[in-house]
Amino acid sequence: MNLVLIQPGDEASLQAITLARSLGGPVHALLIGSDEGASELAVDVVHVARHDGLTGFAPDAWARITTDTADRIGATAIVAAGTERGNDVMARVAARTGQPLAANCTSVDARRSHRADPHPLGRQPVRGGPPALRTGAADGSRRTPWRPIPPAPPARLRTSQPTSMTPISW
Amino acid sequence: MKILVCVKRVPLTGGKMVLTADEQALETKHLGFTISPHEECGVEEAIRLVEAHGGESVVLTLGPAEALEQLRDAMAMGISRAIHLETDGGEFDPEATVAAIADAIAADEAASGPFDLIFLGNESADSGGYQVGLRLARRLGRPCATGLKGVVVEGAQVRCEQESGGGRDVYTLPLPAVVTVLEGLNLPRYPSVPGRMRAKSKPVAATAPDRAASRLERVRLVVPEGKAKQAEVLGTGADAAGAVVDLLEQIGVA
Repeated sequence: MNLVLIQPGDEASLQAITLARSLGGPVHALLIGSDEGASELAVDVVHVARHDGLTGFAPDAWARITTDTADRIGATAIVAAGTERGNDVMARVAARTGQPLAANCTSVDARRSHRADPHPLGRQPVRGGPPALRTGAADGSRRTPWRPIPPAPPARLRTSQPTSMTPISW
Repeated sequence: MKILVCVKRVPLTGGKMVLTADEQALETKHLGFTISPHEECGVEEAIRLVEAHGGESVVLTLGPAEALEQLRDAMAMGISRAIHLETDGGEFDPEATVAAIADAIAADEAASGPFDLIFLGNESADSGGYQVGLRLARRLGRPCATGLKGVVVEGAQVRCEQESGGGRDVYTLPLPAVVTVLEGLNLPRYPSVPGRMRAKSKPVAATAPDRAASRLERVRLVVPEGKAKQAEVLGTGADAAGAVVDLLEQIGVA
């Protein structure tokens, strides 16, 4: 089960859903502060966190809500769009959970593993110059190099399978 | 105030990237090195804050012996002293980096008091991990604001300004705090010749940290195929005239 943190009005969050789907298993989405656009997300469950103090962006609060939601549903991976806010919250989530974080991945492949416990292998663009690519295994195991995979297309609305929403109150 | 700036030695890139034979690093035989640009602004801001409020500024780096060059550069700008966590050149992943830096901070604070403010770059110019500052803050139990374009110390707190959607988000953090900054925060000064001379005699505390096992491992680097622009030689001297005319007609200018 994978959890996607949705940033309102952000196209990259839809791509994050597609990426989370590629990891396999059910995909849950988390909206914080507002349920706007919840019905259009191509996920199995939408969680909405509401609180009077969540009207603006509060990175520590977002990280705590994301971590608590992931714990509650037993998420094996947490995915968010690599925006400035997304990277901020995800780093806080990684620090809270003590898990590794691969930032700004353009693709993730959970199938290429020679171990019994597969871990995602991500591609990261290297900053500061012409684009080179970096591949990283999130579990420290050495893997065989793999071919580049094109960026995933945005997730589309699935009208045949309506999403369900699980309200969460803090 | 006592201020720490964490910097990283990164290659100066700008042309074609060439990888080492094992595809684990950039070929740097013909490249220069510099302080990661975001962190250079952190160095400048630390110097300005100490000039305004008094105190001491310290620069820290985790890197090979050659990274001493970047520490001297920061001290030439005006930083008081340096801490060099010297590595054998092997890669520290973000968690291992934070462990090494946090241990060094604990040792320095035990010897000379706590840092009021710790500066890091929002992300490094090479690996772009976006997490060392926040992980360090969590480990130290201090608040953290990221991606800052404005840092103002106001008494026992720091006002942090972050660009957001055409405006600015403003955070106020109690000191001590950790902040990660972006290029554009200020215009870093150019080290003066006397500054460079003084930097040679400023103290550098060097230690060799243990490297924790990596959980985010680089498998290899890949340079994607680019669309290289190639020049086609049409000919030389008068013999090329026909080909030039044909080309001009082909592109519609003759």
